[in-house]
Amino acid sequence: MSSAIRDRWVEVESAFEDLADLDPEARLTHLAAIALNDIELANAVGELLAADTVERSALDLDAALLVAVVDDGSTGAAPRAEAAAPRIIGRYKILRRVGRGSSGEVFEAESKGRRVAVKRLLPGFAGTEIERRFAREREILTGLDHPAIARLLDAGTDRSGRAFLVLEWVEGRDIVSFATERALPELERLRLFLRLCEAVEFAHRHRVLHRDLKPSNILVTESGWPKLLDFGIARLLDAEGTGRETASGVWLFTLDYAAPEQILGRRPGPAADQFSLAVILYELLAGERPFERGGRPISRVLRDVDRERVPRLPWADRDLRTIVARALASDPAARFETVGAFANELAIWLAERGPTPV
Amino acid sequence: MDAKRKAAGEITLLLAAVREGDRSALDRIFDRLYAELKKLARSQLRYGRTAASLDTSALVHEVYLKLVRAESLSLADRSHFFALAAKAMRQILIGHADSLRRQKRGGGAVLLPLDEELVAPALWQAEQLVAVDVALAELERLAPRLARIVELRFFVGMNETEIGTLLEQSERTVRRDWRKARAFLHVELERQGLGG
Repeated sequence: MSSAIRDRWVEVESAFEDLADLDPEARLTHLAAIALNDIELANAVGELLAADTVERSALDLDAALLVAVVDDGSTGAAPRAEAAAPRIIGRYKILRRVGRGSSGEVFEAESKGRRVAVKRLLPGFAGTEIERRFAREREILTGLDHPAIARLLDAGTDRSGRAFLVLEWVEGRDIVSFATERALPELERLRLFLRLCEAVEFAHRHRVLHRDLKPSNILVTESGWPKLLDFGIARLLDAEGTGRETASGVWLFTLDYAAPEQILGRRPGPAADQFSLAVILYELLAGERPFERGGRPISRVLRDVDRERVPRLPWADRDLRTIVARALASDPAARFETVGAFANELAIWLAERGPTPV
Repeated sequence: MDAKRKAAGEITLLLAAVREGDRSALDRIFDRLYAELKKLARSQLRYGRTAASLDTSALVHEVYLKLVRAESLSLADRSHFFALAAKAMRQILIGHADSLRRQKRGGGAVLLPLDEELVAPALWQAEQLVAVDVALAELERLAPRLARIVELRFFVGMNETEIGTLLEQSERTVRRDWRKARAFLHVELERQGLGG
């Protein structure tokens, strides 16, 4: 580890944390993605990951013991091999594991012929704040019944005492890939986006913030309906929560969708969700994200985040540009009052442009 | 008021001074802790224990009971106290290892009083311990929070639950931080040519 990279320890540490629990193949993919932008960071993280796999070391003893005793082989870190997927959780038959984060894992499962997604906390969270949040999210989701929000079907505790949630299984593509693959015209993209806004606004009215809106959390079904996943749990289940992302390494880019106040660690309100939505809209319309923060040193992102300039939408219409720019304002108070108001402006703009398709 | 009661009051007052920003109070607590821990370690050794059977965690708790006694400390003060005790323990053990190392190498054979009754451990282990200390100093510079966990765990032998309670963090967080710290220290030990 060079001394230059040591001084960027915060970044090294957070990248290590993101990669430490991934399987070796995913680690490599992520490391390669980091290396593209920052070879020094990738090297340092690679070194740490290699050191992490040392199974027995003096460090696992305590110092007094080390003064006089040679490691007898009986102590050491537990092997960190990936446990096999369970066969059953509650009354759900597990088909396969589709994703794993640092605090939870997601399975595709089945009950009475119905496919569901089961999310379960990893062991070791009993009695912790994470478990309490898991329970709280369960209550929140129970109240959220909306066609564009993946529904909570059941919840419980498995035999080992770990909490799990059962959600509607959603088969679909993330919203950006969906639009790209179908080569949707721009007006269609806007309509799709408005349906998404409706779901977020619905949640806000129920006093629920998503806080982690990004394409990988928004799947569009075959019939063209967006479904919001990981409502509020996204923060618990972390980056690759659904396992449906492409290999490009989602955690690198999550930062790109976050509102400045979130990045700066201030308490995010509904306006933060509005900002993330606007980033997604920008990406849907322009084919690229307005901010590329992912590849830059976090320290610099932090320094610049509230004076980022929104690049102009490569889009002729001034009104639409103005609407998107307002939702992307770095000051939350300068954005629209609600997601509903933002959507409303878009709907008016849309109504002036084209007839509603049948 | 007997002497012990007075000592107890003194630590509590010093911790209060630390809270108010008096840095010199930190040094005074540390000196007290260092002296007490060393005295206790020596008396344990006198009753036939070797360095390997030193229960560092029990030592530190004993010092806590002795110096703080009936005073009920706030969590912040407790956490401060144990962090300092861990530092003192670290210094005692490292001092011991270092003097052994120097002795073995035939350098200045100056022994700390603590060493008199000790069975001489292998040079390798002493080297290792000193290397850990050097690596830890670097971690301290980069991530003081992680270094603190290493001190409590490695030098005092506290477990994750105890550390979590003390630092007001979940066990999970402590475990994650330990994992990062451990990986970093390994990289450093490797660099010093000592492997893990």
